[in-house]
Parts: sequence; structure tokens; C-alpha cells
Amino acid sequence: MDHDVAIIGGSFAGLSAAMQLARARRNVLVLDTGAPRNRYAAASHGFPGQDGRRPEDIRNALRAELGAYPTVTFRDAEAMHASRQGAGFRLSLSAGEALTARRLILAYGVRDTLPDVPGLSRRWGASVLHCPYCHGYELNRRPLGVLASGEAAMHQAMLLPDWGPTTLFTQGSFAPAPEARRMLAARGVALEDTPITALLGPAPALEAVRLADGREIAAAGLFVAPQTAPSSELGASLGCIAKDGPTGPYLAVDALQATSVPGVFAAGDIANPMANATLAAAAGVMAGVAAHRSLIFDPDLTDAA
Amino acid sequence: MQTETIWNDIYATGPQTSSGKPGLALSQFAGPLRPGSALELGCARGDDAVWLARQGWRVTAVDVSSVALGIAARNAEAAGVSDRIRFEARDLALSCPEGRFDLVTASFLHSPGDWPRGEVLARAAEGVTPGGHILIVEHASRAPWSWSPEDTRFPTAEDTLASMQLSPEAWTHRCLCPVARTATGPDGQSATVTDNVLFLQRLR
Ligand SMILES: Cc1cc2nc3c(=O)[nH]c(=O)nc-3n(C[C@H](O)[C@H](O)[C@H](O)COP(=O)(O)OP(=O)(O)OC[C@H]3O[C@@H](n4cnc5c(N)ncnc54)[C@H](O)[C@@H]3O)c2cc1C
Ligand SMILES: C[S@@+](CC[C@H](N)C(=O)[O-])C[C@H]1O[C@@H](n2cnc3c(N)ncnc32)[C@H](O)[C@@H]1O
Repeated sequence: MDHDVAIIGGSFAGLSAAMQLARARRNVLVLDTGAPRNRYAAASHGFPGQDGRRPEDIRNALRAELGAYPTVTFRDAEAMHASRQGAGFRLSLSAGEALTARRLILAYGVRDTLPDVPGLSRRWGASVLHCPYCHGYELNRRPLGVLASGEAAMHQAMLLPDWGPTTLFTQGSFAPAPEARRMLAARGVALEDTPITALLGPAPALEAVRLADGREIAAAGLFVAPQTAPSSELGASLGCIAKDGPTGPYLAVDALQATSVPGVFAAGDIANPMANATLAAAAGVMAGVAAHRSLIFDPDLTDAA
Repeated sequence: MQTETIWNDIYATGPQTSSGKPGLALSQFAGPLRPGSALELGCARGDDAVWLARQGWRVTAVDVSSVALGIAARNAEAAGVSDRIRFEARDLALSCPEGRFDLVTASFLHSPGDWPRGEVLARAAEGVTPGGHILIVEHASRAPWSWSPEDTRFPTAEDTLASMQLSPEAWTHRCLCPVARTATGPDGQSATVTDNVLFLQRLR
């Protein structure tokens, strides 16, 4: 086998997994295509010790730390296909090349599909956002909106007033029941059923939204619920059991980040429907430790029933 | 009874709304692809077609049931993607849409009685552009609430592939395997079921 462990995806989850294995002096390969989910944001918030730094600066720092360990190899390459081979796995890369590893850690994340409103995607990560904990504080209590794609928007709308005066734009996607209306009113949330047709202000900033009836409503931040899809079909094609999450599928894992396929671990956004950078990193640590243990305690990859 | 009548009766008496969610395998296998043109076989109430359209695909969605297509068209309208989906009422056992597609998908394209399913899938596969994909998801085990007989024998993914008689040099198998999933029944009960997934890429 070429490597003890191959990690697919070299961002928060993948690099954190690599660190544990590197410190165990194991031969680790990290494959990455350089497209982490938060690449649209100028700053990353809430990561311990790194609050407000540029996302790529955090990743570069993690990579630089790993560079000190001699058993880690980085490759800027896409993993295309994986299959079981002997007591490990065979991975083929985009360039047509193939390699082998005794264990796999899937950390390739998810990608977002945004609602289809003109001007929305240009503002993604700056004034169009999905996570108030990540970027709500910086909006500095200015007017906020929630663009609903379904009833799940209720939850976001209930939270948001802690970050700024909030309007819930239902976009006709659902009609809040009387009880829901009362809850929103108690939080001071305004309701608007007329759909948003345009976003106004110099992108990527937002100043207001225009509605179908021509009215303009001030908003410095608009919160959306993107649909998510895995960045790769590797986990599915290996046969890993997936689950339906609130925004898209994710891989089912146990407390040790093991998937349903022996020898395959998964961490980060691909294995958690509610992850952020810190949770992805923590899950990566666990996946790294668990993959290492599995090399020792389950050397022949016996199929656990 | 005619295939069309059988399915129209099912959809006319069933719920007029739908989950609004794509199939688990579709979102996992088609999610990472770059959107282009897609053909869906047996689109039912349109959940997969709407999801594909929202992902940026131009979709041709076929079903034999005009009743299902009516519900699907309303779903597409509500999701604001009507302009990206063309619904076609057609019995696939008789004819297949013309054209070239970057993705052909068929999820649980099952129907009672004898019908040339392998040929239908093979004909649709002919329309896949080089570099494009066909995704077939089918039952490989019986859910406790299924209408199929308890002793139903399910084909393996290899059986289905064999029934299509594709030229082996023209296709690479990106996934040809059973995949387990937790399924939810009509009354909210859940069970682990197995699906076959055939995810093939056309080389030339
Ligand atoms: C706009 C935006 C802003 C955000 N802001 C914050 C924030 O401020 N704070 C916070 O905590 N969280 C934030 N998040 C969430 C955070 O980005 C994710 O939770 C985190 O990036 C998940 O880490 P990950 O390692 O699982 O995946 P990712 O960071 O998405 O990394 C996956 C990596 O895998 C690579 N890859 C994909 N497929 C392959 C393949 N086939 N072969 C090889 N490599 C592959 C990709 O190129 C990528 O580098 C934000 C998200 C978004 C969308
Ligand atoms: C079991 S349902 C699956 C629906 C949906 N694709 C899904 O994944 O839930 C099978 C669908 O195929 C359609 N169908 C069956 N036989 C067909 C045929 N010969 N031509 C076109 N559609 C057909 C049915 O009308 C029905 O909507």
C-alpha cells in the first residue's frame, strides 16, 4: 500500500485529521482541490484562537504546521473514484493515476446551491449568508432579512433578532400558522409575503431588497438556506450509508467518525448537517485518531457486521 | 390494464403533494456533477426534476401518468423552475425521447407486469453524451410496507447492467453496488432497505 491513510479534502476537517496521524508518524496523503466551502467569505469567525482571520490564512497556517511533520504528503489533485482493494482501498485521481491506502478519511465537504434571485450569488459570503453565528455580529444590528425557501426559515427568523431587526420574507413558500405568527411577533419579527425580486446596493454589500410590488425594504444582511450536495460521490459509491439532512444528504457516522463501510471514516460538513469550521476540525481530529486505531486494532479490515 | 391507467389510478388516489426532496442517491451522485441537460425517466410527482432544475440542469422529465405530471408541473411552478423543465407524457415501453443528454436518471423505474425495462434503460443510455452519466437506482430489497409480493426476487446491479447489453468499452462503472438506506413508509414507520445503484459514465 502506498499510504497508511489517504485523506480526501484538505480543509478544516481533513487537515485536522492529518495532524493526529502525522503525530503518530503515519504515512498520510492529503488530496485537495482548493475549493473549501467558505471561500466566498473574507473573514472566518468563531474558530478558537483565529477569530476574524481570512479563511485561507487559517488553512495556510494549518498546512504550514503539518509541513513540519515528515510523513505527510500534500497533493493538489481530485480523487475521482475509490474502491476496496485487498486490505485497503484504491483511489484514482483526475490525472488518470491511481494509488492505494489502507484507510480513507472523507473530508471533501459539500457545496451550496443558492436560491435563484438576481444579485444574490454575487453577495454570497458577504451580505447574503446562512449562519448568523458566523457573520451576524459584524452586521452590527442593522436591518436583516430571512429569505425563506420553506418552513425551516421560521427557526432562522426566531434567532435573528439578537443580531438586528428582522423581516421574514416567506417568498410564498409557506404560510406561518397563527401560533407561529404570535411567536414571530413576540420576537419583533416583521412578516412579508410579497416576493423579493432584486437585491440593491453596491455588491457584495447589500442596502435593501426590492419586492414584486416595487417597495424597497432596508436590509444589510439577507439569510438564506442553501441546498447542499456532496462535493464528491466517493462516499456513496463506496457504499457508505447516507442520511437525508435538512438541506441535503450527509454520510452517517458513529461517535468515532466511522462510516458504515469498514476502514472508511468521514468528518466535517460531509458527515454533519450542522457543522462549522470548529466542529469540522474537531470531527477531523476524531477521524484521524480513529483511523490510526483501526490500523492497529483491525489490521485486516475485517468486515464488521 | 394499460400501464397509463394503473399509474394514473395510483396518483389520483394518492397524496397530491410530495416530499419536495430529491432521492438520496440522486443528490449524492448528481450533486457533484456540472449541470447540463438531463433526462429523467419516470419522474412521478417531480421532486427529482425540480431538484435538478434548481441545481441548474435543463430537464426533460418523462412519465406515463398524466396525473403525476399534473402534480409535477404544479410543484415545478411553486419552486419557480417551470422554465427549466419540460414534462412529457409518454410510455417509455413504446418510445424514448430523442436528443442528447449529459445525465439520464431513472429512480425506482418499476412497473407491475412484464415490460422491457432493460431495453428502455439501454435506449435512454444511447442518448448520453460522451463524458455524461446514467444513474439508475432500483429496489434491491422489499420494504415491509411495499405492495410487491413478499417473495419478490430482486435483480442485482450486475443483473440490471447485463439486461441493458451496453458495449463494455463505451462505459466506465463509477458505482455498481447495493447501498443501504433508512426508508420511511407511508405511515411514518422506518426500515432499512437496500437499493442498487448503477452510476455509469460514457467514455465515447
Ligand atoms: C459563505 C460561508 C461562510 C462561512 N463562514 C464560517 C465562519 O465564519 N465560521 C465557521 O466556523 N464556519 C463558517 N462556514 C462553514 C465552514 O465553511 C464549513 O463548516 C467548513 O468549511 C467545513 O470544513 P470541511 O473541512 O468539512 O470542508 P471544506 O472546508 O468545504 O473543505 C473541503 C475540501 O475538500 C476539497 N475537495 C472536494 N472534493 C474533492 C475531491 N474529490 N478530491 C480532493 N479534494 C476535494 C475541496 O477543494 C475543499 O478544499 C461558512 C460557510 C459558508 C458557505
Ligand atoms: C415507483 S415510481 C418511482 C417514481 C420516482 N422516480 C421516485 O424515485 O420516487 C415509478 C414511476 O415510473 C412511471 N412509469 C412506470 N412505467 C412507465 C413507462 N412504461 N413509461 C413511463 N413511465 C413509467 C410511473 O408512472 C411512476 O411514476
